[in-house]
Amino acid sequence: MRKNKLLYLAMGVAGVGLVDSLYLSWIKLAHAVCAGIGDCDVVNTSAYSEIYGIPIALLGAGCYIAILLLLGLDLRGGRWQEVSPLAVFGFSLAGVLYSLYLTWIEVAVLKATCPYCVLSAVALVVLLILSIIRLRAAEKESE
Amino acid sequence: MAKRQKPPTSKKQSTSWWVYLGFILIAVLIAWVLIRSYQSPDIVPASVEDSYREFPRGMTDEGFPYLGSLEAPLTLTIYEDFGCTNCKQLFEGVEPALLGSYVASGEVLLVVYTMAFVNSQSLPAAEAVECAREQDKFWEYRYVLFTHQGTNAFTRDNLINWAELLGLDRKAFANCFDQARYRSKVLTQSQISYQFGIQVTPTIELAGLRYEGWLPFDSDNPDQPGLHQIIEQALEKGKP
Repeated sequence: MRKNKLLYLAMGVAGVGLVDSLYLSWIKLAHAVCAGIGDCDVVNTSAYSEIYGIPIALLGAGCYIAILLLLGLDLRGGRWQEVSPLAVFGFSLAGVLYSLYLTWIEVAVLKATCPYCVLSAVALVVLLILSIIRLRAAEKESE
Repeated sequence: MAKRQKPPTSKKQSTSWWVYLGFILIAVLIAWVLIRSYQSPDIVPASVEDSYREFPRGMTDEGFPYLGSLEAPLTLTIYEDFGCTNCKQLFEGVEPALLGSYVASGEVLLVVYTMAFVNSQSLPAAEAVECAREQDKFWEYRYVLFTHQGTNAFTRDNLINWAELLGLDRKAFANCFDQARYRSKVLTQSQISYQFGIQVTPTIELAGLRYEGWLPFDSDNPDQPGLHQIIEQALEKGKP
C-alpha cells in the first residue's frame, strides 16, 4: 500500500515536471513570452537553452515521459517492478546532475533565475529521493 | 522447494550493488555528455560565423560597422542597445531573414549603431563590443551579447571570458575593456543620436524614414508592414 502511495506520488511529481517542461518547450518554439516572475525569457532564450538546436526543455519533457512510462509499467507488476525503480533512479540522477549544472549557469553566468527551470530541478530532486526510498524499500522486502 | 525460495543472500546483494553502480555511472555519463556539449569553444555556432564571413564587412566613413556590399542601393541602419530586449527580439527574429535575403543579394547594406542608455548593462556591453571590433570580431561578439542578454549578465568576467571563447586575445581585450578605451566614444554617439531623435531602441532607419521598436520581417497587415514590405517599397521607389 505504502509502495503504491510512493509510486502515485512520483507519478504526480513527474506529471508536474512534464507540464512544466512542455510549457517551457512551447515558449521556446513559439517565441512566446514567459508568464510570471523571474527571468525565464533570459534563460529560455540563452545560448544554454538548446543543444544542437534541440531545446533542452524538450529533452526534459522526454525525460519526464520516460519516467512516467516506467512508473506506469511498475504498476503493472511482474519484472517491471524490479527494473522500473532502478531505471527511474538512473533517469532522475542524470536529470539532477544536469539541472545542477544548469542552475549554476543561471546563477553564475546568466545572472538570471527562471522559476520554471527551478521547478523542474526540484521535481527531479524529489523524483530521485522517491526512487531511492523505493529502492531501499524493495531491498528490505527482498531481505 | 525450500532451495528455490532461499537464494544465497550475500551474492544477491553484491550483484545489486553492481547494478546500482552501473546505473549511477550511466547517469553521470549522460549528464557529462550534455554538459560537455556546451563547453565546445563555438560560443557562436559555426553556421553563424560562416554566414557572417559570407559578407563584406568593415567600417563606414562615420565609423560604424557594416555588413554587406557598399554598392547596395539601400542602407539599413539599426540603432540598438544591448540592454534592450526588443533589440534582441529584432536580432533573433528578423535579422537572419534580412541577412539571408537582402544583404546576401547585395540590395541592402546593414549598418549597426550601438547606443548605451537603456540600463546598467548597456554601457559595459557597448564598450566590450568595441573592444571586440578592434580584433575584427564585432559581429560575432554582438551575437554573443544578444544570446547572453540578462539581468547583470554583462559582468567584466563574463565579457572577457566570452571574448576568449571567441578566440580573441584575452589580454588585449581585457586591457581595452579595463582602460575604458571606448567609453567616451560610446557615450558621445549615444548622446548625439539621442539629440537627433533616436529615443527608442531598436530604431530602424531606411531610405530617410525611421521605424521605432520591434517589427516583424513579414506582415500581412498593410497598416503595419514588416521589414520585408518596407524594403520592397523602398527598392521600388529607387527604381529609375
